[in-house]
Amino acid sequence: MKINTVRFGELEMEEQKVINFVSGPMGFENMTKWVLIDNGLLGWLQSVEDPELAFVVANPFEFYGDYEFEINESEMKNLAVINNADVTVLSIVSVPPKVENMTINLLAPIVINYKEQKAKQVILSNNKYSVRHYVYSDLLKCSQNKKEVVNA
Amino acid sequence: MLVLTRKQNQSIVINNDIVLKIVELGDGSVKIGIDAPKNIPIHRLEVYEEIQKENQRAAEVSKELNLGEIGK
Repeated sequence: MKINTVRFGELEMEEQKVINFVSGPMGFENMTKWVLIDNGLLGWLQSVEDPELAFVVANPFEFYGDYEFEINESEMKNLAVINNADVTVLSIVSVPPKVENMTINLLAPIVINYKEQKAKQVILSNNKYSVRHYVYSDLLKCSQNKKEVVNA
Repeated sequence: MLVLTRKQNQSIVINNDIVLKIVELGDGSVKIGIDAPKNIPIHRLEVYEEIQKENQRAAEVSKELNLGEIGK
C-alpha cells in the first residue's frame, strides 16, 4: 500500500506493517493507523491517515535500563496479547527547534503488540515518571556507547 | 452535565458497576472513593490533558528535522 507523507514522500509499505491503535494517541484519538519508520535510536511513527502527522519515537529501555511499569490485564486483553514477548514499548519524543531541549514522555508510553500490530498509548499509574523528561544527554551517551561497541 | 448533591459518605452509581463515594469533605476539596472494574481507566483530568498537550507539542516537530543529524 502507498502512504502519503510530507516528510518522506510517498512510502510503499506492506499492509501488515500498519499498526492499529485501539484508540489513537491522546489528543489524536481518531488517528488509529500508523507505521513505524525505524532509524536507529530514534525513529518516526507516521500517521497513515494524515500525511503531516508524525511523532519522533524511541524505545525508552535503550536509555533507561531501570524503566519499568506494569500493564494491567485488561489493557493486555485490549491489545490481544497472548505472549508477553510480543510486546514492545515506544515513547514519544518531543523535539523542539532547539534540539538539545528534546524531551521524552515516560509517563504515557505506547504499548505495541507487534504480533497483532495493535497498539495503545497508556498512562502509567506510577507517578515517578514525567511527560517531559530531558533526554538529549542520555541519547548522546547511548549513541556513544553504540559506536564504541561497533568500533571494538 | 448532570449535577447531583451528595453528603459525606453518600454515593453515586454509574452503569451498575461504578460507584463513586464522597469519602471526606474538606475545606475546598473533596476526597472521592471510586469502585470500578479494573478495565476502566481512571485518571485525574489534568494528567490526561497534560499528555494530550504533550502529544500535540511533539506533533509540531519540524518537517525538516533529520534524525540522523541529532547529536552529531
